[in-house]
Amino acid sequence: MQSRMNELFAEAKVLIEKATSSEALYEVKVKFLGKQGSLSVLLKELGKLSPEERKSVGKSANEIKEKLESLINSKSENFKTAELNKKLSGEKIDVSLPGHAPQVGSIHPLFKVNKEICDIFGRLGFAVRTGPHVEKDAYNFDALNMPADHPARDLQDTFYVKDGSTQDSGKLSQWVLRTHTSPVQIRTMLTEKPPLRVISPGGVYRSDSDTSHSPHFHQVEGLLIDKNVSMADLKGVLAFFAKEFFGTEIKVRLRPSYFPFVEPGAEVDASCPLCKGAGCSMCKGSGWIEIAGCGMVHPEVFKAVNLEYPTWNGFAFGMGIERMAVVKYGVSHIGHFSENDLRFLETFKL
Amino acid sequence: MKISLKLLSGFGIDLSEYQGNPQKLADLLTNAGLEVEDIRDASRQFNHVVVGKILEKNKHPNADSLTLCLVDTGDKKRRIVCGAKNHNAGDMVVAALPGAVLPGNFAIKVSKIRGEESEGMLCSEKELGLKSESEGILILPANAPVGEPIAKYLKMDDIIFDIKVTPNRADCLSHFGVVREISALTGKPYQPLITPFEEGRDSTKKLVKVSIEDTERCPRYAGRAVKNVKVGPSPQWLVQALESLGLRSINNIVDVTNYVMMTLGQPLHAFDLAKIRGAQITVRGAVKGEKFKTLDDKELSFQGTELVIADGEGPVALAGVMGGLDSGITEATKDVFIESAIFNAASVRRTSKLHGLESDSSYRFSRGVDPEGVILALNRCCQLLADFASGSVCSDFYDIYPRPVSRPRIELDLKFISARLGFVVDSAEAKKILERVGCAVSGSGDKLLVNPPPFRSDLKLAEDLGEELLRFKGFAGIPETLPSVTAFFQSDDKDFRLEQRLSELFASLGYSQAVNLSLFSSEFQKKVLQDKRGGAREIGFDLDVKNIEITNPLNNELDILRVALFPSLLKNVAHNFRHGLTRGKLFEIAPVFAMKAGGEPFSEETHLSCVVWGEEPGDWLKLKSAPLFYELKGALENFLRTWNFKSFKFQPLKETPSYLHPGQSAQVLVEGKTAGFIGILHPARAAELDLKTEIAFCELNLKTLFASQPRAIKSKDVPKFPSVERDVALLVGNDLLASDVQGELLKAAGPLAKECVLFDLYSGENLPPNTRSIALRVTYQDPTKTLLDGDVNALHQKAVQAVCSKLHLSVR
Repeated sequence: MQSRMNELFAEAKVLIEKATSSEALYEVKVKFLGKQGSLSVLLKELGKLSPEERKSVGKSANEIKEKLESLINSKSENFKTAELNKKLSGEKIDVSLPGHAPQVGSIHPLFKVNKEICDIFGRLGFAVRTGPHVEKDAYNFDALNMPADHPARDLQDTFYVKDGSTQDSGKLSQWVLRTHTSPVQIRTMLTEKPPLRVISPGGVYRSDSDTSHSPHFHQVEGLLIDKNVSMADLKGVLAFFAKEFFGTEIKVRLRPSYFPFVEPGAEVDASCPLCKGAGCSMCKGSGWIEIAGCGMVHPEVFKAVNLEYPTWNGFAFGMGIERMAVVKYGVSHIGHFSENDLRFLETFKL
Repeated sequence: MKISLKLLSGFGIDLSEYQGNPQKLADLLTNAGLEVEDIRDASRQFNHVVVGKILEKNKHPNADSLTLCLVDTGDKKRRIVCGAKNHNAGDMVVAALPGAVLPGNFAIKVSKIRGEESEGMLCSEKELGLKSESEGILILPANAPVGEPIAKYLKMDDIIFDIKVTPNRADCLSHFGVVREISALTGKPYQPLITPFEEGRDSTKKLVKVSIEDTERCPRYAGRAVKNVKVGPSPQWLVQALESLGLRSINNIVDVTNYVMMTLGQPLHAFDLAKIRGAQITVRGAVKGEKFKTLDDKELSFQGTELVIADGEGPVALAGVMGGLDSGITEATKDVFIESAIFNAASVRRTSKLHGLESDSSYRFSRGVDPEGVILALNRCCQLLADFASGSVCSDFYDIYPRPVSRPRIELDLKFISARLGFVVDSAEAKKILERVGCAVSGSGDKLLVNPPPFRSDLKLAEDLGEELLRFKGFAGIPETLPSVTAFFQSDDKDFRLEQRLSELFASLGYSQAVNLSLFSSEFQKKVLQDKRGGAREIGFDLDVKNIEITNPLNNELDILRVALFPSLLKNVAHNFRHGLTRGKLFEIAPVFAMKAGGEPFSEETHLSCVVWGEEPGDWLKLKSAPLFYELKGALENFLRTWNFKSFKFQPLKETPSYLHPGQSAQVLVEGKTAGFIGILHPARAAELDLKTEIAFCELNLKTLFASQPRAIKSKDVPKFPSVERDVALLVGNDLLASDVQGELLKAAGPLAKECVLFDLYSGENLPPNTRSIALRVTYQDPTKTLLDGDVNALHQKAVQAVCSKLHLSVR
């Protein structure tokens, strides 16, 4: 019986090896291991043997059964893998075809710059404050040390708006389109208690227009009011900003200038981020680009907002958003900013 | 302001080092706050242009009208072809050699003219840019040295600096002022101007009586008569000097007054003495309604707020702004009266603005003129009139100075200033700097007492002196420190951050952010909005408002502030469409403006507007894109859901504004309030605006929407038990809103119904007329247990029945 079993095993092994599909393999399994299979049939004769023989043959029969099952299973695994592979190879797609997702829009470059500036100053503790575009003449000028008939008013060609009351008399109303974001300084100092650190972005208006000026453009104004503040602190803050905004290698310099609401007043130049100071068309060969105006808050401004000076002291600065975007993104023409041509806008993405 | 290096040098200051290096002077001035915007070096303009001598003049072999000349240009003899007719052998001429670039960017090089090589060009005055018209080439005197650069020979070696003088530095609105500044900055000495002239026998005071009625607005008035002047053209040097400063030569008298103003900063005026009626001059306020004709022939009618110079009968000059036509200098003028006065800055500025008259004089007066410079300028003018107009200067002059300007005494605490600047300025150094500026300084140690000079009216406070110290020490010396400040609580403007979040959301939904001018055209706005514009209850904001009008618009395209954003976006669509962008999405977040009744006269509210146009170009997947209305609506729903608004609803407008498609537009209700509208542009309006594509747009009032934002996020537990879905298809009349059916079903299904979505819509055959079938799916969920099929079925059926009977619907 043992020998018949060995023969059976050898025969099954050959058939398993020969099987070329899972179906053929299944047939082999049924033929040998099925209820009516050869091994089962043979084992039915087990009862005719002596107990000793029965034990050893039984053991060997189980071994053969396990061996066959393991051979069949492993071969069956191979077939399954091969079949799956065959199926998958038929499902091949062209991965180079375009994907499908809604197109992402874009944030306007002026707002990108705006956000970045506010975020950088935010890290220095400046909080965003905004103010109205239609502004009191008094906040736009008088409180900023530019009383009526001050010649500095000529530097800012002003749009006046009709307030309904003075419409017919030919007299200008007391309302203007703000010519700078500086009146937000005044509004903040009048409504909040020092110390203050605010940054105020927004639209401003001037009645001059040519290829390099739009009558409606954007500025951001910074104001810091605290005790013991110096011009050196102002320079340090602006240097921090320039490095964050343009790159760590950027240097700043101050040049004397004049803004009635600060004293001393200065223009702020940054080393040209494009040519790194070597001279290019952006910086007109000078290696420096003008980025801001700044200065220490003028005593007259403190007087106008009833803040005790010099107990409280501070500095202010302002910059043009369009200018920053031109330098940062190399925008060639300011007309692009208000034309809203998708081909221009889409370059900025999110 | 244009400054000539030559005129600066006329003050006896040694500026020779800048002749070859003008940038050095430009840097010096710029770093001191006088920004040099441009340098024009006349000598460079004439590089390679020299004096030449014609040795031979021969006929051009191939052209009768041309000559072939042999010209000695110092370095060598050159053959030059010339087209002029006025030259002869032996003439001294101007030769432009290869390498020269003449005005108009005309580069000279060796070239063949009609077959003959020409090594340069013989120039006319026109070609040199000296005159606008000239005949023939310029023939120089016989003693002109051969080979000498023409710039040197014609003394055109001047360098002109264009300086941006800030309003506080009125003292630098003259060459003398700039000399004073350079001297202070460098320590180079300058010579005081001396003005010697012979005095005649006549007396100014006998010729004319002068008085000031308004000493407030005219603190000083000086004047002197000059007799028997010969009015004529100015000498060449004077013409050239004025032209280089951008002034036109008029006649020797007027030119001299202008020249003195440009050099000394004091505006002067010359009256024809014969035209001064009643031989008297009064400085007085104008009388309302008084008429006056200006030098440039403009007829003015006075408001009564102006200050005038009047003779016995009426105004002869608008003080400090402009002289009168009738008393001006003419060829017939014999005797002149020169006015050198100080007028109040604010008054001059107001008058100049009032009548729209600006002059070099009003520019200087409105910034402030040095009251102590009046007599020097008057004398200088008289000297030049004696020299160049053969005038006889009267022996006496007026100097009415009732209100001498007082100089402030400033206490300067150097400790305070050092703290303000961020670095230490020591006393000796401060003293030295301030004395150079022209201040009288007393005191010692940290406390100084400073008297600024009269020409520096901008120095009023210790802070102003601090800036002087900084200017002289150099802004480059300011260290960079970060402020040691107090930490305190302060948060960002809420709306600013909300607008930013909103922008990012719409950008991620495929919309590109637009930025338009708030200044808008009233005409175009009217064209878009027309009548029936919509009010706050209907569309979330009132468009039947009065525009904010600009008093002084740049043009009528920008005469108001816009009341809504979408007209601007429609313009943007037109622009893009014109440029071939047949499909796109834009959004804008910006304030809109209107007049308001009561309180502050204006309202300013932030809106959001979006626009979608054109059909999405299908891709290879052939996925169908949504109709424009639903595409835009989807974006809005996305926004409203993302921002956790509790409820929102799109419903038809009771009265459709004229710009919206009456069947494809809706008001947007958010938590019960009208927040805005959405719709398709009315096809008739689209045609009127020449918009050849379908456009969906919306506008929302963010003031309404932001009022309850930002919303706190509340975390919810994930349900433990599974949810069950049940579908139903209902036959719904076309006049019933799908969202109403949806809402009713959800309500009827009770608290276990979590959601009811519309997942299919069918209209067409097999349905009763004017109905459609909408398929709704209700999701049921019990937070405490797994729902049993039977329970859910019963619940659902009951709900469907309730809705059907309430809304008179039937199940399909």
